[in-house]
Amino acid sequence: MNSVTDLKILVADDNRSDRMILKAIVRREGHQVIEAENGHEAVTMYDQFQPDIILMDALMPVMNGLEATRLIKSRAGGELIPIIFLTSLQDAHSLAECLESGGDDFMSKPYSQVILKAKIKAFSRMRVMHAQLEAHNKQMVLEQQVAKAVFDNVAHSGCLDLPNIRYSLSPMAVFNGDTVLAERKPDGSLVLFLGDFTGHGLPAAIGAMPLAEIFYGMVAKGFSIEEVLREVNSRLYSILPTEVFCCAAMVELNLYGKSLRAWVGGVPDLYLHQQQSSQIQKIRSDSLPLGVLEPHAFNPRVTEWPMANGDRIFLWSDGIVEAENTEGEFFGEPRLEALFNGTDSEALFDLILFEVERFSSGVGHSDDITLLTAAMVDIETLGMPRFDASRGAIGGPLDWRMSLELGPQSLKAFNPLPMILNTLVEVEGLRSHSGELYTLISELYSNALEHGVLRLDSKQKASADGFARYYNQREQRLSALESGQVTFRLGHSPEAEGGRLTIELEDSGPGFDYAKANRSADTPSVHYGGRGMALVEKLCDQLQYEGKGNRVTAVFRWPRLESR
Amino acid sequence: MSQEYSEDVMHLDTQVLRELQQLLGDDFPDLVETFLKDSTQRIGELELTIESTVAEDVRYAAHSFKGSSLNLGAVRLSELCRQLEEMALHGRLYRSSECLEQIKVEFDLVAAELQNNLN
Repeated sequence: MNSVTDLKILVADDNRSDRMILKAIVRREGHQVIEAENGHEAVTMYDQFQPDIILMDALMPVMNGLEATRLIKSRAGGELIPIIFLTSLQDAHSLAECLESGGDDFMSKPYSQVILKAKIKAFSRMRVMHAQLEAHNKQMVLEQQVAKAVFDNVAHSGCLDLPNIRYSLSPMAVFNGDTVLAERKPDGSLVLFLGDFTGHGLPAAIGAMPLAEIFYGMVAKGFSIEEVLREVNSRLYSILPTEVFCCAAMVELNLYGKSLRAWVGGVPDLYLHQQQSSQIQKIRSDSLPLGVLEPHAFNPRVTEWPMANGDRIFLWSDGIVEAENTEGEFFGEPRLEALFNGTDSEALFDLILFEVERFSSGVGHSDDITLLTAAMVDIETLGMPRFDASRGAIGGPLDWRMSLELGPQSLKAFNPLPMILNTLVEVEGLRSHSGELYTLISELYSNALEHGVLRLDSKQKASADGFARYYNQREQRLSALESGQVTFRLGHSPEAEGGRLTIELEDSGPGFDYAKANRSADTPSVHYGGRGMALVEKLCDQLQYEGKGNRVTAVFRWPRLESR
Repeated sequence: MSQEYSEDVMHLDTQVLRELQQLLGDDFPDLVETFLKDSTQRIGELELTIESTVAEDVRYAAHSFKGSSLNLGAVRLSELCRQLEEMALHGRLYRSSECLEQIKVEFDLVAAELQNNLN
């Protein structure tokens, strides 16, 4: 390791005899001596020889020791070059001045060998430790850069660049644990997530990685937000230390149903801005943050809201409301709410950022605000999601049959759609149609469950109050369900250049008079669930009701022809 | 005032000299010669600066001489220089010539003793 020998020591003193004495002492300790006669020469010698330690006389002609010290210290940058002042200055003021100019220590005349030796040893040790510290810091900065790059890839992938989404995320998010995610479900629905990890720095942000993986994976497979939240909560609960958790909100925009499903746990109220009435619906946080509750104690409560085209949902972390100005005032909720008055939906995002920036200018960083907003649009505006068709076998199973019967307990607690979709896309030819297939099975299943088994009346969904009532009723009836079932019967057979998929759903409900039913897309009917049926008909080649009307069969052929 | 410490303070600290001798070995005579030459120059400088009555220059020169003489163990000489430095610091140069005379006298003593030491 480093021993205290063979250092390069610069001796700067305008007095020849003093220099000679110092030189002798330093040489005797086994070090190399570089001499300078004045401050100016001291700086030159420093530049040329890069000494390890400098012995600097305070008062020198041409340039004095203090000035030379200032220059040398500024040239040294992050490196520690100990400078010991040689002085017979006695008064505290002068000594303080020496230290202020950057000096690290004093030595008074007459020079003592013993003392100088001790000082050289001590400062040499300090220099080594300092160099180690610098090296560690550099290493840490590099690691943080890598972490930031990985984090950015995770946090910024997904579909945040869709035309109906706008977001603001601090470039330093990796160090404050803010996360913003967006992904499409197979039926084209849009799921958004905003998370604010407690704690600071890298440890806080690390939780975002598994969270994002789970989110993207599950949403793309068609899992509901409750299922995603459960899985995320479980993972975070198991991996995060007790004091770290994630305040978050997750919302799903159903582009066909024109509705919003929302879960809020620990972040400030979400605002649902209705364009026509210019009203705000506040969606309050009524759940604990993610990673706090044990898996079996975590029951995410999701609320449902109608959302028309042009309506916007706003999700944010507490950075907006807690933004401070120079007088120490907070931006606060009243100010935020006031911004929504009479402002056009599309202008709100920019207005919020602008006003917070203006309020807090001079204090902190306004680009630390985390804000996510999305507007309801028609599916045509966004198109159907494209999924990675590279997984799975070539060909896959071509001739098969499968049936799945779900009783009351399963209907209450299990979402069969992701599993069924996963099976269907094992057929290579169906893979690129996962969006249509998911929409198809989703609509048929929800009709069978809600209208068949639970006997809900979809006419209610027409009004805002009725909407809430409908979903309340759905929840009540489902949790009270004692009997009933929904059965899937699926089959696939090969055809000429492709294949033929048959999807049959049967429910235990009373059925309906399908022969007389009105199939217009605009008139919701008891058993059609409104838009759903028109959509389903568009998606498949054949749709047939059978029996009492509680059994329906859809046929889906591939490859698809343009005309279909 | 200027004669205050004459009895208590020695002309040359032999302990310091012995240590220097040990430290420098064969180079010790060089050191002494350097000191004597530089000191003579320094005294000339003091004369000029006192004449010019630029207090700051007197102060710097006295300060420097004070330091080098202390390093050679010439304690009384160093003390006299300190007094001169003090005067110059406060701009009171009216006694400076007197002080310089004492410095010269003291230096001659020190020089003589150093020469003896060498032989």
